[in-house]
Amino acid sequence: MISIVISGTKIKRIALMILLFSILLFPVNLLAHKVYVFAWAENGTIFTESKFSSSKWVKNGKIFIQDEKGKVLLTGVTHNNGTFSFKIPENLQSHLIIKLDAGMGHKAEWKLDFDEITQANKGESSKATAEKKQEEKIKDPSIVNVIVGILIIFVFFLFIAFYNKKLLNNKNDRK
Amino acid sequence: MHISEGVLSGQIMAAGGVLAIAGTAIGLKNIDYDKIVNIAILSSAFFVASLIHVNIGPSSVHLILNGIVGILLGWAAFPAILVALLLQVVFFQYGGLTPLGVNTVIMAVPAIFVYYVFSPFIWKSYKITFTASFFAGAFSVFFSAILLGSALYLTEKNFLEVTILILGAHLPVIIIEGIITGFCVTFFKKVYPEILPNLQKLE
Repeated sequence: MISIVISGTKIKRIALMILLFSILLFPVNLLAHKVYVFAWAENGTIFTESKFSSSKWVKNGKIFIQDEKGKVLLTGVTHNNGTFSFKIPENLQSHLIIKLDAGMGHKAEWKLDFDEITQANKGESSKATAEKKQEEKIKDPSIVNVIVGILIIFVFFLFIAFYNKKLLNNKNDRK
Repeated sequence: MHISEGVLSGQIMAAGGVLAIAGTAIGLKNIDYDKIVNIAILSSAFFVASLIHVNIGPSSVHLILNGIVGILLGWAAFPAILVALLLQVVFFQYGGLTPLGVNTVIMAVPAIFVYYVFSPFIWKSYKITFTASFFAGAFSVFFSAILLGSALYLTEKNFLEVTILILGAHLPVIIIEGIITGFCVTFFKKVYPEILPNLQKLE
């Protein structure tokens, strides 16, 4: 028989859910502390920019420049505006991997293609390409992500509840 | 407070994974059937909390909420935090799959610690409830920062410096989490005491 009587506990539970879900209505930026580095080549120089997803620049972040074999070619530290630049290494034969260590467990990397580097040596800039790649990479969490995530959490714990109840019923049947 | 991919050594990640699995197994075994919905709600709150930024002066911090999850759920905090962190990796790309175990331990162990230390006090007067909850919220972030420093020590090799840096960065969060946990637990005690652990002690 389906009961339509809603107990006081259920009402309180619904009130609690409304309270916690109302957090979603706060005018907050759906951003957190992911860190990004991106780089482009221009006029024989490679420029890098490092920032957190909360739009804060990474200050004093460690930058490691590696070749395709993982050999560290040079290291540096980001300035207050998150930038770090260096001359394109001579006799470079491969792409470059720019690794950022922003501290406290936050790391990111960027691959700069060899084609972009060779074009820069001819006086061209790959900034537009880098910015396009960066835009594709930075995808802010959407409200849909949040709602789907919450639904998955509820489905997971409902499954656990179902499983626990089944175990309990089996135990009672044995008795 | 999420450790990214490629930061920790394989051994640390494996150890974190084993501890997270063990903690989650204990948590799932001890789950009270009647509290499943509460666990899902608190896990959802933890999942969303990292998106809520609070601007303090020049810095911007986000909520963690492992203190409130711990004091209300006890061992069930382990699966609640693991699921939330996993979904944060999938949907928001925070942290990573390989350090998921370590990240879970960093968040869940302090949660369980504050459950054992502070939850007995939430049955006292409202002032004591607020104070105990404040310290539960604040201390869980503090303890998480220490664990994060310990995990990073194995790569950075300068524990004190890293830990002081982490604690300095999280000082506003420690205070904010304390206040939020204090107000939330006191509020729940007034309107929905069933969510608090060991309700029979109230009766």
